[in-house]
Amino acid sequence: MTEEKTKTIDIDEALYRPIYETGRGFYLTVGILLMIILFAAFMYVRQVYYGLGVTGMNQPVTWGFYIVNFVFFIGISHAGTLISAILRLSKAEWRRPITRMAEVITAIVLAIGGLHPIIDLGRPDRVLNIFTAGRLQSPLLWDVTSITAYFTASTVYLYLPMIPDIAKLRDRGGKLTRFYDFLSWGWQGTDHQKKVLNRAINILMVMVIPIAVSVHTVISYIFSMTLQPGWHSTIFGPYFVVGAIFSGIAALLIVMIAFRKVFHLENYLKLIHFQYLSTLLLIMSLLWFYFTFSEYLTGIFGAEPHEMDVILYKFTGPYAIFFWSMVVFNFIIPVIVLSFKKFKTIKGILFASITVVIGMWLERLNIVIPSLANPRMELGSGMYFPSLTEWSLFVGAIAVFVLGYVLFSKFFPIISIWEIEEGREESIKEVEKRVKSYLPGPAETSD
Amino acid sequence: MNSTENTSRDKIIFTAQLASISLIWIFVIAIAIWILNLISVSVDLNDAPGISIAISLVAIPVFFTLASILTYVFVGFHKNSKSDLNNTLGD
Repeated sequence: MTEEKTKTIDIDEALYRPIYETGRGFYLTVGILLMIILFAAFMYVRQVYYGLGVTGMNQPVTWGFYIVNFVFFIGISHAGTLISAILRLSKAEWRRPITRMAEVITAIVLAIGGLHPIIDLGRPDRVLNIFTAGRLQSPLLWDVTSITAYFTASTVYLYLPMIPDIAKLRDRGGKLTRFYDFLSWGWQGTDHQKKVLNRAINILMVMVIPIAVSVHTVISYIFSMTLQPGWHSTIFGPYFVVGAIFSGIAALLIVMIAFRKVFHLENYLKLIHFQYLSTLLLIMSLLWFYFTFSEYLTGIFGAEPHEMDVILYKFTGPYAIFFWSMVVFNFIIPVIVLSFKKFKTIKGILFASITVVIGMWLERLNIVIPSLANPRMELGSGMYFPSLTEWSLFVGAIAVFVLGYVLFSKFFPIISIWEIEEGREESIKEVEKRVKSYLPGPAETSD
Repeated sequence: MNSTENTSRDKIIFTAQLASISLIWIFVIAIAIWILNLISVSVDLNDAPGISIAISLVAIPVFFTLASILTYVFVGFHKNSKSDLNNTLGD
């Protein structure tokens, strides 16, 4: 038994290595990221001091990068908990090395995205007004509620499956033993504890899916509940959810490829994982195109003058470059790369994923700005140029994400070790049993 | 490290864990109170209280369920853990 245990630990040593070995690269990365974050923090303090005049926001474009990034980051958060929950629920065995990476993305990105509406406030202290004078019939407050619920659920959903791994770190000893002891909640790996944990994870994964879907639907309501041309659309809810899952999968693939390379996780994150996920990415790309096509075709066919102003602003006007780049990045490139086996390599998938993330950011830009730039009132068409402050905070937000991820991987295994062990011990038998149950044969009589 | 030190360390950690669970409940109860306050504001102002009540009927149970799951896991881990461990070691 002891020999067996030692052997297993040796097999998975690569997963512990980033925690116990700290190279110069780690300090260098953290240092650079901290400098970027400090600069962004300085720019934010400057914005609070001087007011929103330091941003590119103006009349009529009163929402800029901050709201674009808010929608974008919350969308990326769908990578994690939602995908992980769906894979767990469908008992996809290939999920095991992926789920934690996905769940971490959600927890970090949700925190970053959730802060953006506060950054967008010229007076951040006024956020406290929602506690005393909030109006629950406002979609903005639905957002606060649903994002808080999703963040809580995602954090719990990230934490609970980590407990057995935290206990492993506790048992290994070291400087942080007490920290791990605190977080492991007395886990000893008994049958009763396993039963309790599995039951809790099962309840959570069912719960988290509707919460995740509701979050991005509610975010779309901020736009679609107004009568603003280009926003007032009944398909915005599912359109946003599809876009969120699409960008989420792409972000997950980028993170997986980066950590595979940096931590040498080739034995865990195999080509097959990338191929399965990239197939999902391809499906989402087609689905995204279908929604985009339906959205614009309906608008063009109706030819309502104000609606047409917005559409033409995107198709042939100042935002044409962003609109058509979005189509190329979100549809043409991923479909070409991911449809042909020849291109479906790790490099090809990375390329397609990067284009999708950029494309989905452009999509958020195309939704937010052109509608504001072309209001119904008889005002001239507006224009928006982000300022250095907005660019700095955007880069700062990305740096916070990378730093959060790097620090997480320094303290916890980035791949669920106990789930990998469980997979080795039980999956083959379980899958064999499941496949046999699908095959023709005498039906089980449960009724 | 002797067993007395170990026991006191275990007690401190257990207390900290209990405190963290309590914090989660405080957080959830605070959210529920906040949402109820918003309903009362909307009733006072006759400002679409129906919608506020509908949203709170969904939101409040979600938060309570999440806190309950965490509590269930925490209690479940500590309940019978020593006797189960002895049984496992006996195997």
